Amino acid sequence: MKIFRKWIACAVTIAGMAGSSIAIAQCPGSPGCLYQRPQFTFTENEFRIAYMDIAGRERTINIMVRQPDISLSPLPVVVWSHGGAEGQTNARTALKEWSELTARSGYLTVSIAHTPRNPGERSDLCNALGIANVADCEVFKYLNWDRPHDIKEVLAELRRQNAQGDFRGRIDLNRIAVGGHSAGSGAALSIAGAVRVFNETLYSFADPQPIAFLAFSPQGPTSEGFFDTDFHKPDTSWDPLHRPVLVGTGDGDGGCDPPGDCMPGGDPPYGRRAGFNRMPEQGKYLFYIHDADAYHGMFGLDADCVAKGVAAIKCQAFSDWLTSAALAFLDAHIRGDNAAYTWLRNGWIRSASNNVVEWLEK
Amino acid sequence: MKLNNLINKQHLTLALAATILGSAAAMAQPIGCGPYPGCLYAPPASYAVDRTTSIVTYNDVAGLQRNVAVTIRRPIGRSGPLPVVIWVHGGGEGHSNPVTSMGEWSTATAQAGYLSIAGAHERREGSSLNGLCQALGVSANDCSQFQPLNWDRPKDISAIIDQLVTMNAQAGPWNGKIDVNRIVVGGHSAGSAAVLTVAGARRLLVGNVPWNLTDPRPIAFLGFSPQGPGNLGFFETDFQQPHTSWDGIARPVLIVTGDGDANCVQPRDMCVETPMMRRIAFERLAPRDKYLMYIKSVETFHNLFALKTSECQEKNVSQTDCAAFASWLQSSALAFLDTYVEGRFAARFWLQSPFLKMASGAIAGIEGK
Repeated sequence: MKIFRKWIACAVTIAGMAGSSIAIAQCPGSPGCLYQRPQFTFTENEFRIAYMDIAGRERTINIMVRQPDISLSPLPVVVWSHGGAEGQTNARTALKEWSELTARSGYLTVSIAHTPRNPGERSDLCNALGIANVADCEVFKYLNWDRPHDIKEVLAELRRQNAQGDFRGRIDLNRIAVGGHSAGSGAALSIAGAVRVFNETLYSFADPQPIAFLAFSPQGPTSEGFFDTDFHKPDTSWDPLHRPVLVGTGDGDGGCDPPGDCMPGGDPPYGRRAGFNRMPEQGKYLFYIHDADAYHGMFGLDADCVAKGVAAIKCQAFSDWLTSAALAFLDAHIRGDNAAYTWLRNGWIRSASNNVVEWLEK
Repeated sequence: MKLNNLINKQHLTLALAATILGSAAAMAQPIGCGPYPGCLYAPPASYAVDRTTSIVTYNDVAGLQRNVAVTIRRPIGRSGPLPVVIWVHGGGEGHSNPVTSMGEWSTATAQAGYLSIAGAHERREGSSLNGLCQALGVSANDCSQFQPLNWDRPKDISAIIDQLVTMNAQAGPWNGKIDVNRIVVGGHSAGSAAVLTVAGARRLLVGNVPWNLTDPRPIAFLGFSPQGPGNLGFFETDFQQPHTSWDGIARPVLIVTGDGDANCVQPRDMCVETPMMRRIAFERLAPRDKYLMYIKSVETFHNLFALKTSECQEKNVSQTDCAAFASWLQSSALAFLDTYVEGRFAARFWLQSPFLKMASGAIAGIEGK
């Protein structure tokens, strides 16, 4: 009943978004209390990057670079890492909606397709990581290892491209964000410094170059190598995260089947936000949708919302709230934009969503 | 936010409260904690305790007789119908000795003036287990994996309450001596799962329909080292599933855990529970009369929350730390009990103050909603 009332109020808010004087009064400069910024066209180019992995094998990944059609130079950057344990080869479709959004918003956007491994490549990686048992290798999610390394190679490639080639001088290497969805958010947080345990060994994949991170539908403790404190063990996966992070999840962002059986590997919504609780303070934000229609793929901005039986108005609202928060976060922490900081720090997403979105900053 | 405002207002009235509550000794305490020695809450009296054992018997859902051995700890010299705390131990394997079951907590609450009942919840085996499985619709194949205590513990609690009501009503030594309108249930680990189940938590353990084993009679609940979603049938929201296990809990609850309260094996991602997952039991509770006491120390091993300080030495936890943890745990639990059972202003005031944080140097704290 409570949620129903909220949604009626929310629908009114959305309907009045274009010119609500009340909303403008509440959130000066942000119609409907949403964060908006100028939109640009962009051009797309596909590339391939090859590097030697830990096993000494060549690993090749496809990337899509979306370049905003603006004269501003150098451009701030967002690198996106998609989710899914099975991998992808088509960089054009990898987190397409998020990628197009950040490109339209003026960010040079790199979308990675994390290539799956064939059995031989997989076996070589397991051997290199000391996973000797064949059965263990078969269940080892090798992309948890490959994703952060793929991102590091993309960052290295950005440095190379900025020094020579088509993008020479066009890339602002001091203003790079890394974002991801689901397993991709695990990779983004790994680059941010999150420590993970695979095969009883702790690994850090930290890269110092990016200055901010977006983690949508992240993993909680006990999932995909992320860990919490324990008796006589004071460290957690999230302790080293000192750079700004936006975490996004919600009531429908579970992965438990059946709902009472999430362990190991499943991630209930409050488990996903547990990592935020463990992050050190400063520049950390939690965006949480208190609505069970906010499904897992929605945080990857997929196009399935209406097809999943969610009302179109709600789908639009979810998307508006999520993209507002992400762009405000990027503009604040990558561009240093004061209006974006104002939006974040005043928690205007709460007004925009009539408090369906819980917004925490620390 | 409301609570913070409340606390701020209460700070302003602290001097007044100290005057109302204070004695000469209380006024001698360090500035900032008013009449609370060492900034900790202590009940107004401490009682000697006598201990007896008994058996509670009832017929279960399968029509089988089930016996629950209980230890009754009575505060000697406290007059009037006694308020009650029923304690529920943890462990999937069950207990048979009620004297050692939650003995530490049971003694602490008896000394504080509560009639304290601790049950030994035995695990079923053989035909009794098969009978229960059959009654609950658990297939013969699944029965060997079924944890019968998930069902039996809440039912045992209700049976103990039934017995208390009977003892209080019938002629005999307990006639009129038990305040059956002031019963609290507390538990540790799997015992806290039973406690929250009796409080109204729904759990998915057999099939797709959550169990509802609510008992309306207890007025408050203590959950030490509770389960998070995904464990022992507790569940969270999911796509188009807006309900959680904890939605149905409206009565006062104190949840307690800490940074060392996991039970992982190596590697560290192989954990049934972690501290942050346990906290979800509090985070998902609806507001009003809900509290979380959390100790930010990895010295706080799982059984410490059962007040088993006797294990500190073998766990290499210093006696100083151990004593401090125990005092914080007892203060919190007794302040919660005295607030909701005895209606003591001093207890409520402490519970909603930052005094535990001050007493512990910010290692422990109580969050309320």
